[in-house]
Amino acid sequence: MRLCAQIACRIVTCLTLLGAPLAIAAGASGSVEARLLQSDGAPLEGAAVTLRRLGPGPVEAPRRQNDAGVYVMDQVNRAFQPEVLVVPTGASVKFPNSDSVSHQVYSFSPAKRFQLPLYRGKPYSPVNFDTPGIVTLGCNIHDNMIGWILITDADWFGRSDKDGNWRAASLPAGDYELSIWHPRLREPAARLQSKLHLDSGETGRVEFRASKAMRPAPLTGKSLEWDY
Amino acid sequence: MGLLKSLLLAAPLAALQPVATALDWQVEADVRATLADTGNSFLDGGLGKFRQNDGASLQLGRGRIALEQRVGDTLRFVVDASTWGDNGPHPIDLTETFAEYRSYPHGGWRMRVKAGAFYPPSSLENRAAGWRSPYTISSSALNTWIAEEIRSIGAEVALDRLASKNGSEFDWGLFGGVYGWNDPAGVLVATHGFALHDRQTTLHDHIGPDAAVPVSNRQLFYEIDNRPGYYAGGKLRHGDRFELRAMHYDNRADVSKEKPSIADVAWLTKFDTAAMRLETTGERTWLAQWLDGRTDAAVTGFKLGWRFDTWNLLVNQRWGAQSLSARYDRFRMWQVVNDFGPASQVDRGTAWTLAYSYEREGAPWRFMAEAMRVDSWVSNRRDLLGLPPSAIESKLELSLNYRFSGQYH
Repeated sequence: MRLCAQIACRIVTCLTLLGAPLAIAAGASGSVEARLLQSDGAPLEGAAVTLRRLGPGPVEAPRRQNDAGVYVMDQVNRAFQPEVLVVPTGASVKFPNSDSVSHQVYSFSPAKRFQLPLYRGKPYSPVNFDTPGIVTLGCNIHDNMIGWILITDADWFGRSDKDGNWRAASLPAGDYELSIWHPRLREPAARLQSKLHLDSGETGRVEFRASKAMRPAPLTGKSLEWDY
Repeated sequence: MGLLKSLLLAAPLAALQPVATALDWQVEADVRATLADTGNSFLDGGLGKFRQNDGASLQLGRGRIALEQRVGDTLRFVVDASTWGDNGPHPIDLTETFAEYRSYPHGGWRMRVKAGAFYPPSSLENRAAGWRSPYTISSSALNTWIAEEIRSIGAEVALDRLASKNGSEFDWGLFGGVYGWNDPAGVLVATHGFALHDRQTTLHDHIGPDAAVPVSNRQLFYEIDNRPGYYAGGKLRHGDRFELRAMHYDNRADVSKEKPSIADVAWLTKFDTAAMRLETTGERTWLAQWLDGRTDAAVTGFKLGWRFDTWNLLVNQRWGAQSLSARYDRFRMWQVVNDFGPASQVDRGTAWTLAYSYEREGAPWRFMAEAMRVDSWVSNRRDLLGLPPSAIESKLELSLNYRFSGQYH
């Protein structure tokens, strides 16, 4: 190839390479960072966070691309693990029972009523959750046990980490609504939702601080071992 | 014709789908080394409040086998049998055996029905398998008495409101039982007063040796008057931290009836009991229990009545595999003759118990050490045995328990 053409070729390639990320940035490069705190300023870990894009226009939901589809609600040391599981509408949840005893998991929540005996060491079919809402789980043998599954049709969802942080990235510009839920939060519903607007490439920050102390966390340890 | 016949045959075969079953079993045994400063135990012709006599002893504390067969999700059958290393009439005998139906909760309500021989649900102390206290070797005076004389041989119905699964902070429940075969209940407390130990009376047990004073060959679980008794109570639970129980028991015995084959009469026994348990962060448990009761019997033409009450307070602290408990008991009993005249005190006392236990998760061994000091005044020591009525009894008891368990399904 003649030198002029080679140089031109390289310039075009560079421009193309430079151009590509700019094109992506123009589409969906925004993010939302949420920081959740308890009333005393300590991080609020394990809260369910959902982010919904209100508009304008439809957007391809990322979870349909990224969803591995495997959700697990385990039983360990006579407790549900995780305490709160956030799943998309239509997800199937496996209940493996890694505990040393049998459990009988049930829910009578309107979003999903089911009963699932879990004999130790035996596999069971996953349970499908096809209605959005909050499902409270119990065990019919161990009345102490309680867990929750939050079924959401929001596009972005997860749980706050041990520092109380949750993040969603690669977001297109638009109006969003962030919702928070935790079984032990005592907050009026209005405080658990916030609306924000993202410009292209912007990082929206939401800080939530509980107004009241949370209910005490479930006990762990030997006191759970006896059921009488 | 072929297709219809196949469908008709398939339908009942489909109905015979195997029901999921599981059999859980537990076998355990513990060895006791005891150093006691006491008289002869009430179990051995004395009025000592321990299982053991004075001096040093090495014995089988308890050998136990328990089976639980689950059939489907809602039905289970339980057999729980123990041997106590003393001279009972049978090498091993049942402490409890029953069938229980437990519905899945619907709309937050759950029903349970139990039939057989079992303890009524009054105790917040005896929470470990086999009606054992996980905190100490010896139960409180209150639950030692229940273990000696009380069993529900009949049926119990319970209704639970599991509102915690509906967003509430409270669960509560009501229960009631109708039973028979508990007419001699009251004879042991009337004869030997309160005691503090872990020996439960089995269904066909004989308490006390032949021709002993004052407790000789007592058999507890007989129907003497063909009248059922009942108990009824409730419970309240706040999350997993606070629990309250209360129960009223009345065996409705007809004191005019007797059963010469066991050399006993029907004892009319009634009591009220309440218990509270509080779990606090830092792995600490607080337990408070109270019982107030009476038992009446017609003995050689006299109507004799005993009124008794007892309460106890326990605090337990756990660190990993270790646990330390301290308990204070107080008990007292009066006797009334023919329902009038002053009541005369026949038993009163206090007890301090300190217990240490070591039990690693998943390990088959459990070690427990218990020190107890009982300061009591028992009129029968003077009246029946010619001994001083006041006594301070103390013991140091070491228990090494080995258990193994499994499941077939």
